[in-house]
Amino acid sequence: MAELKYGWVGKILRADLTTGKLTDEPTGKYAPKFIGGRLMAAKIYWDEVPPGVGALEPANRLIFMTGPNNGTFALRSTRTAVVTKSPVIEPETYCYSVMGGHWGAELKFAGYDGVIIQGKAPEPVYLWINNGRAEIRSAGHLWGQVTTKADEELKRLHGCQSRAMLIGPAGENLVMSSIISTDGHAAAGMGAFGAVMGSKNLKALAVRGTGPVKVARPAELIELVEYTRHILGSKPLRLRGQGGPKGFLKDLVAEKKATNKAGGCWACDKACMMGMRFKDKDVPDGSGQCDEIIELQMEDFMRLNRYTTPDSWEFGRLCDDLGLSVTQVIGHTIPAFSHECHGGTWATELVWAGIWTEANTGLPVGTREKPKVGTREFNAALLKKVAYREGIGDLIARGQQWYLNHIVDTVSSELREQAEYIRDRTIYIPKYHCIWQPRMAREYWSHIYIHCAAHVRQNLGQMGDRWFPLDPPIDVFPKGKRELAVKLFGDERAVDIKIDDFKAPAVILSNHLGAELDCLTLCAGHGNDFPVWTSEVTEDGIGDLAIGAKMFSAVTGIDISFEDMLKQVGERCFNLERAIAAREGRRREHDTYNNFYLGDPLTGKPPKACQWYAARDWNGKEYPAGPAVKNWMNRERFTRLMDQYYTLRGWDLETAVPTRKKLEELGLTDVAEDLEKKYGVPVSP
Amino acid sequence: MKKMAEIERQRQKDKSPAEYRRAIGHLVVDTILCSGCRTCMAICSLSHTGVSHPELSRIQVMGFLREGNLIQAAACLQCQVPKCLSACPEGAIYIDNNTGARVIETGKCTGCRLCIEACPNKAKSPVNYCGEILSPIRYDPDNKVCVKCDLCGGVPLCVKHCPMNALRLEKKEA
Repeated sequence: MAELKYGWVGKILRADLTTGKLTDEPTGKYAPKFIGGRLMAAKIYWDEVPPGVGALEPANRLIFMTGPNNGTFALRSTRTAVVTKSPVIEPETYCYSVMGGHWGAELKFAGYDGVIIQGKAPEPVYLWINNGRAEIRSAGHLWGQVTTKADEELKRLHGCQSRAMLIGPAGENLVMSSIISTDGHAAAGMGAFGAVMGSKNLKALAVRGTGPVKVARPAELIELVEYTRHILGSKPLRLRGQGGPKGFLKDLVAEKKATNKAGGCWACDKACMMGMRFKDKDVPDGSGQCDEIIELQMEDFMRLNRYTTPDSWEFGRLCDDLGLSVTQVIGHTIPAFSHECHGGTWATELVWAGIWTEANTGLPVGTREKPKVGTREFNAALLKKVAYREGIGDLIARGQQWYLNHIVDTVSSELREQAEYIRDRTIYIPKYHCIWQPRMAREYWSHIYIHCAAHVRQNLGQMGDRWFPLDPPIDVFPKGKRELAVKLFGDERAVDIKIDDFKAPAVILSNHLGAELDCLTLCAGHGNDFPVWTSEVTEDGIGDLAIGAKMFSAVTGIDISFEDMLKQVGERCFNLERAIAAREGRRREHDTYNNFYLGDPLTGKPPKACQWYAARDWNGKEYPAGPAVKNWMNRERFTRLMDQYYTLRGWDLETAVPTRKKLEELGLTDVAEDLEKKYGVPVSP
Repeated sequence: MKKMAEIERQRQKDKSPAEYRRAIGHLVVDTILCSGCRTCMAICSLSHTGVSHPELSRIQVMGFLREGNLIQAAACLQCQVPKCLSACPEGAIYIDNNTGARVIETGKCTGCRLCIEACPNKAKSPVNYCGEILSPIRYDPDNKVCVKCDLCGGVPLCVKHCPMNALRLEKKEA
C-alpha cells in the first residue's frame, strides 16, 4: 500500500447504515493509482457494486469522493464526485456527478478523502463527521423538512461553519429528479442521487473539520496558481459583466430593494454563484449557480420575452427547498427552451393535444387554447405534487422517460401518434451544448452525436467536458485554435465544425481531459476555463493543457507528465467506466439514437431534431434551416463516425467493449480478467 | 521570569496610545464584494505554515450562501491601542519594526489564549444559526501557540490573491 504524505489526507470513511458500523479505510488502497474523484469512486464501484444489485437496494453504494487537490490552494479545486448506481437510467446503471461547493474541502479538513455509504438505516439518520470522527445520529427531527430548514438546523447543532450535503422531501420520497445539494447552490443532479440517499434513510452528511491538508511544494503551487490565473485571463464573472442579475432582480438591486452578491466555491476565482437578499420578505433569499439562473432567465425569456421574474426566482428556490433539480425540472418537465423553437414544452404539448386536462391531472394546466404551463401557480402545484408524489406527481416522479412511455401506453388510440412524437423528441441531448443556441446546435452535430452516444451518462446530460474549440467561434477566445489543431491533430481542418474529420479524436481528447479534471477535482466551469485550450496572453494563442498535471505534482510531490496524466487518469477513468457499463449489459447497439435524431430510415426524411433547433435562438434571432438540414446525420454517417471512434479508443467494433490490450495498457488487467471470467462479457484480445 | 513578564506587561499597559507605533495599515474585507471562496484563508495558511489549514488562517471568512451569501469576516485591525498586546501575560506580542504590525513571538507564546479573548474585532454569525464567534487571532493546538496577522512583511498575500478584489490594505494616516 502506498504511503500518501501530501494531498490526500489518508482515510476513507465507510458507513454501513444497516449495522451502524463506521470504519476507516486507508486511501492508500486506491491512491495514487486511482488518484481520486470520479476514478477512485468508479474503482470502488467496480469492486463493490456487482450487476444485479438494485439502485434503491441497501447493497448499492453511494460514494462521495474528493481528490488530492481538494482543500489546497490549487485553483478551482472544489469538486466532489458522487457515484452510485442510478435508478433513473433504464436499465439501472452506473452514474456519476461531480459537484462544487465547500463540502469537499471541509471533508478533507475533517480528515477524510471520501465517504462510502452502504446499507439502509432502520430509521432516518444523518452522518456527522468531525475531525477524524464520525457518528450516525437520528434525523427524526430533520426528516420531511425542506433543505433550507434542515440545513439551518444542522448549522445550529454543529456550528455555522459546518457544511452539509443533504436531500429534500423529493429525495426522501424517491423522486427520480431529486438531487443531493450543499449550501443551496451546488448539487449532484441528473442521476436521481437524492433518491438513492433517501432509499438509505440518510438525510444529510454534515461535516466540520479544522485540520490541515499537506502540500508538498507550497511555493511552486502558489506560483502555479498565479501562472494559471494569468493564462486564463482570470476575472470573476461579475467583473466581466456576466452572471449578474437581469430582469426584475436587476430592477430590485437598482432600487436598493435587494442586494446581489457573487458567491464562490472553495479557492475558486470564478465566483459563478449569485446570492440575493431581498428587503421585501415575500421573495425568498438565496443563492443560485450561474447556469441555473441563466436557465431560469432563458425560461422566462422564452415564455414572456423578458428576463428573470419573481416567479422564476421562486421556482428556483422551491426546487432547492424540495431537493429537485432545476435543470432536470426545466429541461425535462418544463422544457420552455423549445417553446419558441418548436411550439411548446412537452407539458404544454400534452395540454394542446388534449392529453392533459385540468380534470385528469388535477393541475392548473389551463385550457387547450390557453395553457398555463410555466406560470407561478402551475409551477408550484407541479413541483409539490412531484416532490410529495401526490396524484399525477407520483407518475412524473418515476422519471420522465417512464412517464412519457406510460402516456403512450395509456392514451387513447387517436392521440397515440402525437404522444409518441412528444416522447421521442424529449429524449435528452444536453442543453449545455445544444439548446443554448440553435445555431450552435446545428453546426455541432457530429461532435455531439459521438459524445452523447458513447458517454456513460448518455442521455442524462454531460456537463464538464469542455470541447476542443471549434469554428465557427463559440468560445471566448478567437485566436490559437488553428495552431492548436495543427499541434494536436496535425491538421487545421480539425477546427472546422462542419466536417466530420478529426471529430472522433477531438471528442476522445476532450473526454479524457474532462475525466482528468473530475479525478483531480478541478472545476471545468464554462467559458475560459479548464482545460486551457487557448489563451489570450500567450504568443501563439495556445493554452496549457498540462496545468492539471502540474498542480497534481506540486500538491502531492509525485511528478507526472501531461501525457501520462492523460493516459493514466483520463483514459483509465473513461475505460473503467465503460467496463462497468459493459458489465451492466451495455453494448454497441445501445450507443445510438432514435429516429428523431437520426432520421427515419423508411422515408429517408431528415431527423426532426434538425428542424427543431434550426428556427430561432433565444435572443429571438431567426435562423433558416441551414447546414444541419442539408448535411443531416443519417445512420450511415453515424455508423462511420462511431467506427472511427471505437477504433481510436481501442474498443471492440462489434461490442464496443474495451479490448484486453487496451485495459492492460491502462493497468486494468484485473478488470479485463474479471470482465471475461466472472461476468461473462466477451472481451476481445 | 514570571516577574519580568509582569513588569513588561505593566510597562506596555502604562503606555499612552500615542506611544505605540502605527502599523502601515490594516486589512479590510469588503463583505459586499467578497464571494466567500476562502482563497485568502488558503493562501494565508499555506504561506505561513506550509500546509492548507484555514483554521490557522490569520484572516477568517464565513459565508452563508443560503442567506444570499451573507459574509462575516474577521481580519486584524492592528489597533492603535492593541488590547491583545496588553493582555499578553508573557509579553510575547511585539510591534514589528518595519511594518508596525502587532506580531506574536512564537517562542514566548504559551498558548494561554488571553489575546483571543481580549481582541475586540471578532466576527459573529447571524443569530438564526449558532452565533459562532470568529477571532482573527487563531490558536494552534498542535504547537500550543497563538498566531495572528503579521501583514506578510508589508505586502499581504491575501490581498494579492483575492480574486474578487474584495481585500485591501487600508493605509493609516500618519
